[in-house]
Amino acid sequence: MDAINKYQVSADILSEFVEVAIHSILYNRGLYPQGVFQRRKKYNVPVQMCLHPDVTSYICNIIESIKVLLEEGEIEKIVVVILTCHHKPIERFVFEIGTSSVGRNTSDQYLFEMEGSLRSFLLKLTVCDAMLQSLPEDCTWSVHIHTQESAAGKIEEKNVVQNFPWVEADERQTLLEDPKIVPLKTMKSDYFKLQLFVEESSKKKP
Amino acid sequence: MARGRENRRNNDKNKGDGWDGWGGYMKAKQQKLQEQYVKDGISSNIFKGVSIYVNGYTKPSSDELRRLIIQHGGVYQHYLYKTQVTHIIATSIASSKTKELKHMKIIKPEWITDSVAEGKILSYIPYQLYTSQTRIQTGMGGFAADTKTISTTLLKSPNQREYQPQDTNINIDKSPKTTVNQYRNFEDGTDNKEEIDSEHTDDDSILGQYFDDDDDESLVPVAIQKNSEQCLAIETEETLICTIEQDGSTNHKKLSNRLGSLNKNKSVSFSADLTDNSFNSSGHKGEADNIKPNVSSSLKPSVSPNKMAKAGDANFLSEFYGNSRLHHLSTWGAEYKAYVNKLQTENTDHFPGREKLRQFHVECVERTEELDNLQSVKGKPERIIMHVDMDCYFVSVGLLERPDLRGKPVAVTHSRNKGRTAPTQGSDPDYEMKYYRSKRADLGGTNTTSDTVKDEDNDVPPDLRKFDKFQSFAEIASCSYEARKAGVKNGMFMGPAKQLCPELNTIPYNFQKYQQISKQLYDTVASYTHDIEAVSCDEMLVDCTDLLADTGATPLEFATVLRQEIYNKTGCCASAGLASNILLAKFATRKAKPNGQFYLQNYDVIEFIKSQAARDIPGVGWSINRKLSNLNVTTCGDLQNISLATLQKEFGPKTGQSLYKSCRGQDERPIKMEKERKSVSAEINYGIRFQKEHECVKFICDLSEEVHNRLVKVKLKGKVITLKVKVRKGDAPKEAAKFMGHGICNNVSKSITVPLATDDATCISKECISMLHAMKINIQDLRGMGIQMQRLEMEAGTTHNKNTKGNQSILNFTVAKTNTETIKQHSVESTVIDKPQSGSNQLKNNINARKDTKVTKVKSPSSIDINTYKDFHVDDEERNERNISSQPIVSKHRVTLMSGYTLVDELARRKTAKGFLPPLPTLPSFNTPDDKSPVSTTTSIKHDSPMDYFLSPSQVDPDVLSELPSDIREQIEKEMNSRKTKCDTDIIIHNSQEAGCSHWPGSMTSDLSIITSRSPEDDSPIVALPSPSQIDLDCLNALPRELQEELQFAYKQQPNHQTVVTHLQSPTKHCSPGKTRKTSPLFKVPKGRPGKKRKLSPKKLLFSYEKSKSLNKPEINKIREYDDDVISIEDDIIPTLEPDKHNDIDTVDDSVSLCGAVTISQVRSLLKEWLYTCQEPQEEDVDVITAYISQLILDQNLEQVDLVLKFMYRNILKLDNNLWKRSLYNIVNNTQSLIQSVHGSRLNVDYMNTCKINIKNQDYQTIVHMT
Repeated sequence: MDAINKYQVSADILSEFVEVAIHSILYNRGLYPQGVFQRRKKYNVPVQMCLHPDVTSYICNIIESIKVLLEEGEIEKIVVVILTCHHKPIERFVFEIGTSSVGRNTSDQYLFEMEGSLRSFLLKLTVCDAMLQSLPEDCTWSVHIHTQESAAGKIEEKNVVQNFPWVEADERQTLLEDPKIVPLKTMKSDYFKLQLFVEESSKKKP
Repeated sequence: MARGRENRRNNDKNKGDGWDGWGGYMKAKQQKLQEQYVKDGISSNIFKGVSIYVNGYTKPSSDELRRLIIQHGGVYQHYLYKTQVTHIIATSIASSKTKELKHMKIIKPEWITDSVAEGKILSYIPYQLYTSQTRIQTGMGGFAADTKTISTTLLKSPNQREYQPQDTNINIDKSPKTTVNQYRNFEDGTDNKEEIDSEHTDDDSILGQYFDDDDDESLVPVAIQKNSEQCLAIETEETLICTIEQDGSTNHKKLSNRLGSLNKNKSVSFSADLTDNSFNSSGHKGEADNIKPNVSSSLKPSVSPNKMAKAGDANFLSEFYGNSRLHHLSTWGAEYKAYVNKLQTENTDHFPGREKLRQFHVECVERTEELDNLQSVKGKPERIIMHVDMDCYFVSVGLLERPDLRGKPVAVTHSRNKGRTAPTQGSDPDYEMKYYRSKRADLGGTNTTSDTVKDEDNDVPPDLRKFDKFQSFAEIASCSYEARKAGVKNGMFMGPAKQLCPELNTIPYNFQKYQQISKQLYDTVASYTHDIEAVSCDEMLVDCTDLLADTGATPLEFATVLRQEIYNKTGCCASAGLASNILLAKFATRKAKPNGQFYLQNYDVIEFIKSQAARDIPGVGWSINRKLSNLNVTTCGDLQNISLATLQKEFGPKTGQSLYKSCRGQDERPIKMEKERKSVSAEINYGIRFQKEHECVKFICDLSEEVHNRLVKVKLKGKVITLKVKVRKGDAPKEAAKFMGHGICNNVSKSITVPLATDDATCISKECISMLHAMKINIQDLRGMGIQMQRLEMEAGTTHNKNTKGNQSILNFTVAKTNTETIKQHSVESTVIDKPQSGSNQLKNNINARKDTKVTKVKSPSSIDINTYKDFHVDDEERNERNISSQPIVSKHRVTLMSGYTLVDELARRKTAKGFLPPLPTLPSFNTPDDKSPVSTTTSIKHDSPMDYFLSPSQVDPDVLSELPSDIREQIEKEMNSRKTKCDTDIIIHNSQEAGCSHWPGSMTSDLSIITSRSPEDDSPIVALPSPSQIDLDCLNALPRELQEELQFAYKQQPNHQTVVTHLQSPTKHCSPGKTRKTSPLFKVPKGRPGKKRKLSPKKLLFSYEKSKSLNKPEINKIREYDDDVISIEDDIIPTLEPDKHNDIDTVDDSVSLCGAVTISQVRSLLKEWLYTCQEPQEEDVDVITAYISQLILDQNLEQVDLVLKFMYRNILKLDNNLWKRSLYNIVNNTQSLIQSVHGSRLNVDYMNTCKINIKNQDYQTIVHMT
């Protein structure tokens, strides 16, 4: 197991999880009508997955490029930003990824615990609307990643092939108005630390 | 025997006839025997000075040999007088005799016949029956002298005609038969020789050819030779029979025979058969039938299983290293670096060479004075680097002993044949070829087809163009310029090289000679200057700026003088390149070669560099060159046209930058006088074929021993042990194409960090074996293995100030604190420091500063640096204390055993290294009833009394004690006795020295903010014993009786301490008036030992510093330092899962905890206890909570922050106490500001708004911004 690259493993796990989580956020925050979602099972819990081909391919593209960076250990945060129709950010679902200082040798060799933790993330996501104010109509969303400086070059390099360019985030899209944090879940594993919290603008309704 | 008896008889009989003096008879007899043949007439003097003794049966017979030798001026000895006999002639020799005659030259009889036929004395070396020398051919030194005599005594005697035709006949006889040989067409030089044969031209040339080839053959890898006398004997027979054309194919057989015979017992009978066979065939030389079987049998590649000295055999390792060119090269490289260092440190300003240079310069100036005076502008400050490189070093050294090969293409290699061998059994060269091809294709990118054709010349390693099954895979280490003309390159395999250059001669390695010449080379250069960077045994960089300024000579003058001197001393040519930096100097050397010098003037640089090939840039290897050619770059000029950005994109930032600079001739590297070693390793990827587990284990032990030796040599110890393993790739064939090579492999490596740097072979091997087991690899698939030691530290006792941060020894941190005041000062200092890096520097300084005082003041052996260990086990220990006789004990035991082992080791070593007794290290103890581990009992202490880290009497295992070295034992006993009597004084000492926390100056200094804010407890030492009130009676009762007594005694002994102890209790203690309050056992321990939580291993400390650095957020650095304060108590969820065996420092869980509570439920109950027992919150306690929450935030655990706050809010609401509310606001406020700084937004605490909390104090209201 030591031969396995720690980043590689965490990249695999995280990219898989983030994909599911994005779908889950989209569903739970009601960004798309419920009809386009289908119930699937992941981590042994029911999750909703968007079936719209454009949405899925967009998410896939995101995940693919995120994965490249995750493998390099470049990503600090992955943020799903929910914007109003005027492109004003009102909610940010922040997946903060940290490297774990815990040693690699573990008994969680088959990642059972990992699965359990991820499952609890998803469950927490499904109930997050209880902790958050409801969204206005016609919201849209985007994904931001917070990386280390060095990642910029890597994105550029890899994206040429993928034809899915990342652009530097507009400050207007990153800054929330009077944000408040609602922590959702935190986990620690041998491979990474992950915490999910929502930054919510206190002025959601215009 | 018969002769002996006769002697005796003769002696008796001849008593009194004048010879009865001591040895008189024998002398007379010998003289008579010698004179006996002289009268036949001496026809030549070729054997002048040679005195032979014939041993056993030979062919031609001893009589014949005697006739020949005497006829040609030699002496025939009937008796083996070691002083008189120069050569022993034998066709085979018993192994017992080989030992006896170890230092004699044992030669095959053909040497005589061939020499006679040649008309001159030939080098005996190719005819050696076996090499007497062990691994490195020492004996070849004597050869140089012999060759000289040859050239002088070269006489054409008429007699030689008699012999020559005979040999040529053989040739003629065989040549038709060779057509049978299906490999004939591959045979190099076949055509050439056949022509000669058919034309019956000059005999000499044929013979010359013949001998040359024979030479090649006899140069068997020495390791094999040593064990295969018998087979070599066969070989001699065969070489007589077989013509040159057959050599190639017979070699297969011979080689395999020889290899087979390594297993001596078996091979004897086997080779005997063969001998018969060859005798037969030699008996019927002319007959085709007899040759055929030989040829055909040779076509069957494996007559016997290939059994070379395999890994696991007794002397494999020494054999391998004896013959490994790379090993020698690397060790020499290091040796010469060390040598140069030594010269530099000796720092004699006496440079005898400079005088010579001055003289030469004066002469030169006189000569050229009128032409130009410009050149000798004295003392010009321009930097000049000279790159000195020997010309095809191995070859030219080899040629010193083989002057006859001068001017011919020569290659140095292990391969003794002509580039063809039988394919190794079970190997599949096709597979490997395919693999390399596909690999090349991968590397080549998309346009493989066109590309491979284009770059073929550049891809030296596996030369695939000429890849064929029967080629030799021996690498050419060095080849002469004649050979290079033919296209042979260094590093090429023998097979393809032979195809390129059929007349390539091979000479074997002579490592001792290389070393000798290298030493001369370095001494020569060192006589001019000490500004030398040793690159390898034949290559160095010399900064001659000073030298030239001193002597006033021009660079070229210096080069001329130096090269001349090198040539005079060593007989080998060196080339020198001079330029203003290292890179250009190396380029200049390329231009200068062979045997020249070149000074690249600054104004020439731009033009010069443009024309250089890009692949010649140092650092540009196979893969970079491939990428470069994809960019259509061949010269540096082309490369200059590429922008830095493109280069960096293509090759990565670092390589791109260096390429960009290199192709412009820029290179700022200074001459490196001293390089710090990063790792020490030993690796063998050749000849590894384990069958059994124990072979492998044995091998690892040997390899560890080797690593140990190397570590000792450089006086270093390593902390990280890495085991690198090559495993046969799943679908790869069992055997590699290269004989005993590793073939295509997967590389697997695994490393482990040991708590103490070690160089102990047993320790290393133990770790490696366990790592190997963990890899779960089939032993038989192992193809290579290496052990590497990293994170090197100087051996204890030597100071290692140059240590880099990563290299820092734990021992550096574990110095006793001498004065609380100073510590405090330091801590204050550190608080000012913003940058974590400088913080750690500061820390280092502090430690260094304190070091001196420590030596003088610390007397008690109890205050030793064992806390290092202690800290590793803090988790275990504390957990253990909580549930005293529960499961995790088992895992903990092993951990102790491991570190205990190294510790004892270290102890012994330091003792020997420093010559005096070190302070006695001890280990934390685990006072579990079932703790029977001897190591942990001896070396451990009771956790209840960390005040003095000394074992309690009950813990001393007398058996173990008696096993200890006497001086250590005495120390322990003495200490124990003194402890019994002098308890009071002890306490005083501890108070002043603060043994407990004094070991943690590192963490103390880093503690800064906490120390200053939570003063009362931090100033005091770490709690020795929990206050009696905190003792859980159940736990106490569960302890063994003697421990209980001890504890009771300890409490009685410590009345003085009680005051201190109360200080040290957890925050809650301050407000709990009644000591009788019964608390849940769960929280007792953490509270009782709050000091513990501030102890962090220095390692972790560094780590967190690095972490904060990488975050690059100076504004939170201060807060991050709380992070250092992390309490390392294991999370209760994971504890039993915590791996034990490979416990290294990194695995210490740094979960954030509040006085030991990690999970939310633990924290909750702790908080609850605090809230409901204290009337009003103490400021320190609030700080503790704040710190805890800060850690949580930084640990990316906002969830828990939220939960904690909510919990506190709920409960404080219930309490309805304004003081508490204020504290809560305080906490919330601090939390919010930290979250604000980390995340840019604040926590949602809207719920607190819903209820109005009456805040009386206006100040708080203004500070607190809650929505």
